[in-house]
Amino acid sequence: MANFTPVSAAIGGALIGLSAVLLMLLNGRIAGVTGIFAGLIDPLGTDRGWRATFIAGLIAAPLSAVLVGYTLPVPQMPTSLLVVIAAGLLVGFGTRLSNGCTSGHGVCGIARLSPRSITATAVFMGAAIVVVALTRHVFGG
Amino acid sequence: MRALASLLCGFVFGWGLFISGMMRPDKVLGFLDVFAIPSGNWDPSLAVVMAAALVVTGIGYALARRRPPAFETQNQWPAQTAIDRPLIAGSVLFGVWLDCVRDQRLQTWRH
Repeated sequence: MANFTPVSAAIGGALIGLSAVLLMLLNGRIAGVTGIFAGLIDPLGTDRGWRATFIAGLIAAPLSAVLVGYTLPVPQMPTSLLVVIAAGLLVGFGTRLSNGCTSGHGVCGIARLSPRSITATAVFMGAAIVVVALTRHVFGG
Repeated sequence: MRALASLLCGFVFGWGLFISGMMRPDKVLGFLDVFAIPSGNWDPSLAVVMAAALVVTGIGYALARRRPPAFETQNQWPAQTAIDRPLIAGSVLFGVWLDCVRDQRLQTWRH
């Protein structure tokens, strides 16, 4: 397990948890990133202010990491932009259909011991594991 | 104050994602690739990220249940509990296509 980075994983995970707790203690909201973003771009949305600043903070974080000397991972772009756009749309559609993603269901929901969120997380993790197995080991080779 | 509070929360969340390596597709895919377990190349980091986040959130939410939030009248806990078809279908779509955004090898698969 040469790639295993338990210390940075634990610190980063704790920070994600801290963010979720703070958002509930301060604003009374669930820190589900796709849900927050969806409310921001919803034409009928009313409470855009806090959503916009959450997303702004989220984007500012890695940029500020550069300022203190970290290097950012270079985004890896598959050759077909069309696949990325289609996949992005389906990811967005999926998270709206199930009302949550890795943060909303995976962290906030499981922390509440919600059976709905535990199910959702098991399903999307399972689906992701199957796709990686297929693309890397069955078709990809 | 609400906007400022959520700016801070977004910022802390972003740093958490960054520090943990979960902004890097290879770290996430390294966890999802269960075939790498026997060969010893599996990367369990994502599980540690989830575990740490869950411990902190679990304890913090227990505290949050006891009091109203600082800048709102009440906490908005999710009301939905149904394990229904949209939940399952949406989660499948999310899991399947998130990989395709991340993994260049889809190209190999497509051709």
